[in-house]
Amino acid sequence: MKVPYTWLQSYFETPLPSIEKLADAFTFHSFEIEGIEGDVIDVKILPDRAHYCLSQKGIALEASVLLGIPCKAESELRYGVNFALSVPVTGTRMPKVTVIANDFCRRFTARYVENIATTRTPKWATKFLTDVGSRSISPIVDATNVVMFDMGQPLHAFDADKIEGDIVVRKAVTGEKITLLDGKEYILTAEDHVIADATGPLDIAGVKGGKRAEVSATTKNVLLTSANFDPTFVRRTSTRLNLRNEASKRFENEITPELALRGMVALSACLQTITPQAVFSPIVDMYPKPVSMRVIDFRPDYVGERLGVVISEATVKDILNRFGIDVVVNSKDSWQLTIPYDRLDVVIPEDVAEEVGRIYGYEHVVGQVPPAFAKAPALNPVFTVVENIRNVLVGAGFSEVYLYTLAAKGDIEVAYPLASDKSALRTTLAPGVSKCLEMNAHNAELLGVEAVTVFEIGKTFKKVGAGGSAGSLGTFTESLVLAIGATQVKKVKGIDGKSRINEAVEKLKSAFGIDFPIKTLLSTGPLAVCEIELDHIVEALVANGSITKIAVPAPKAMPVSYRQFSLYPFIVRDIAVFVDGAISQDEVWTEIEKGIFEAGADKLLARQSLFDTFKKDTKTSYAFRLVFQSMERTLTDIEINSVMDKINSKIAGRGWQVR
Amino acid sequence: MSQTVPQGHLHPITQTIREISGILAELGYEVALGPELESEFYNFDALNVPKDHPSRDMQDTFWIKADKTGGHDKATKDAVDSKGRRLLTTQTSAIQIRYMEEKIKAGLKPPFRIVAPGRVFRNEATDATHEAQFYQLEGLFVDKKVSLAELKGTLEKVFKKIFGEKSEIRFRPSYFPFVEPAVEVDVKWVKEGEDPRWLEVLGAGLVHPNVFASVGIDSNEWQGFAFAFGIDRIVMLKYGINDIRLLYNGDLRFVNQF
Repeated sequence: MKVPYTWLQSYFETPLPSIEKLADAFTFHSFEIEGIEGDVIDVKILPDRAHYCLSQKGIALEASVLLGIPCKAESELRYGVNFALSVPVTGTRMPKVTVIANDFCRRFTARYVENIATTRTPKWATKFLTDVGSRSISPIVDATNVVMFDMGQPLHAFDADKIEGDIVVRKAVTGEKITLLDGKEYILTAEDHVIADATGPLDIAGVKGGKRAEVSATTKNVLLTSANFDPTFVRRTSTRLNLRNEASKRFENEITPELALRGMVALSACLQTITPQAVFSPIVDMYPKPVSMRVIDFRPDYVGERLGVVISEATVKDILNRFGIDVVVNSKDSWQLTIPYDRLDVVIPEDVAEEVGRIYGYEHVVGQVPPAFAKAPALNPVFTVVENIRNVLVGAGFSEVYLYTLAAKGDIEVAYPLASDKSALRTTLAPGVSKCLEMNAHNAELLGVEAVTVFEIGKTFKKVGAGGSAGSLGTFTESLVLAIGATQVKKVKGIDGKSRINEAVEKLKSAFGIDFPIKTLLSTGPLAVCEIELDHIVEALVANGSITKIAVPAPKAMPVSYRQFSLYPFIVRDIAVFVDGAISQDEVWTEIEKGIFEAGADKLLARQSLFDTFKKDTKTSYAFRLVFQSMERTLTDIEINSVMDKINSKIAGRGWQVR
Repeated sequence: MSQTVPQGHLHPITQTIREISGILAELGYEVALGPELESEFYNFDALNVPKDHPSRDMQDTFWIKADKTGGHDKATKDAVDSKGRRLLTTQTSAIQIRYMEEKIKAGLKPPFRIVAPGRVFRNEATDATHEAQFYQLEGLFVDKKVSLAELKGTLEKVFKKIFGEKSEIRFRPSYFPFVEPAVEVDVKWVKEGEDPRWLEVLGAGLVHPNVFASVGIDSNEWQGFAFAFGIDRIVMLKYGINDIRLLYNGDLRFVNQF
């Protein structure tokens, strides 16, 4: 919610600290600041503080509490308006209102204002509306919005001359239609509520006003309404009709019915300054069940206990009083707190502890590690098995991948998917792993591997017939599956993806001393992927009591310094050098490196490896594979050829022979 | 050239979960796991996020499409109804409820200390910093007397291991319906040769009495704290990874660096 600094200042005589200091104070004691733009602070109001902080007044209260400076009296002028002043009543026209939906409409206030002259919205109000992210519409509507943004009470003005007969607040009739201010027609259900006249609905209560009695430039007489509606009903209607706006947001988060009359008074005062000749009639206030202030029994030490700090009773009392919470001290351990109406968030002692704690400051909390348990924690069987499987497979040269749960097809679909290929829960891991192998096989040279070998441990989801099975949620089952995949890139006799998988599965069997039955095996050419259901394996290991005995050592930890990798294609070149037996491979490599350096290509060498060595008579051949890749562009053959030329001339310079 | 098979690579998410759960295991935390396909009760209701309440909007949820086939047996259907609609779990906090409910049903009372890692889902457009799936690691501590000081001490211990001995943490007020008070936790990362940075890393707080009530624990007798790390975020910060999607695309140019 946007808070203009100057508007906030209007609540205080004392100058506020700088906008940055204010934002800092909010950050560490109240709520997150989303940003500062010019002289507007954008504060993030979450549902707990929305009852009172979706208003400038609420923010002013927060500022007052945390800065320890009082707000001005409500009756003092702000922008030339005394928002708390009841305007003189000179009219006599009384609205006839019936509230049928009493559980929905907790309070309804209304009054007629007549003889409104064409006028303009004052500049301060236009600026305020712009600053808070709204816009000026017409002087009357602007007045309702200024008061709503300022104090948090949504208000509505109807053109009184367009209303037929009496007003009734009631449930909508299923199928009932209304055209709203946005010009669209909405069809209502019996879950919705309307403010209606003799003709039909004028307004979807708590959500949005209707077109029929819309205030226009020529409006002479208005009916002002300020009401309080049940948050749940408003939310259901606004959700169903997809009509979430500044008014419905405030009702959904719940505001106190006490605010309704205050809103009516403030709106009247505001209108009077805009159109001084307007004639105000009395306010009708239908408030069958007035709320009372909540009383909480509180033990002052509780704040310190929850925070783990020592706070004096005087400090606790001072902070409570700053919030306008009245404290009656019955005894040292029994305080009676009376909570202001608008603080619907303060219900239980925990809430009080948070209010006092955050103002006192969490920076006073000194960390203290609780003593460890005497006995070691119980092993989680699934976690233990999975961690050990990971150790076995990583030890066997397989790398772990995490792929996506949402797939194009599956038994179980999500509502409103992000994309059509992510609309269902995966039923199998194999296709993902298979794709992953193919993708990585293209990069085998870059990775420096002869085969791509990966595994994934993840959940799959299926629909099962009536009755379900163990671990099922309704008719759906969730299974823990291990997929192992391998694709042979370099041709080696007798080795392919399948043989690599089988080897890995054998290692699992011997590490766990139990069978790892392969459920599905997918094999095409050098590529193979298998799936193994882990739930049964865990069950079997639990049953035979061996969970606690499995302890495959974790792979050796390597120092990691992550580097972004290039997304451009790479180029591979092999070079075999024939040298005298006394020359080491390092010496040959040094010469190759020199060539690369002289060609200015040292940053392009992504990987090198000695892939072949053989001896003939007194001579040795060293064959190196060089992989070139740029972080910035696609390399050309011509460019790499010239690098190879440089290397060749270096080799030739030593009198060695390139084969 | 060596003839032995080179070691494979553990995914950095696995490594980070291991590291944190290992530190917490020393303090007596037991691993607990939960389903990815969850029901409304565990994911929301029991966590003090009631139906038709604005706090539901804090997380964009993947709801599971209603099953049109019908015809499944009554017993199963009833079980589903009593726990509400199905969804992809949005938070590992749901595991807190499952764990405590199970213990209480089995007649086992606190103290409890659990660490619950898991994959969670949010129906949000994906970009370099947002994924529809990511990992959280939940911690729950329940004992006779529990305060924010113990929460802070525990988290300090974890962060000194992950981000170095010089790291510090601080609390800012926040709102998560299942804790009260609720705090956002920032960690100060002091890296050699760089200016220290404050990073927003997790949410935490003291367990809300309504959460205890939902699993039948008397909050006059027991108190607790809970916290939830965003594992992906920690991995990304620690290694300077600029795109979260690298964690899930199976590219070994990425994984094999770990």
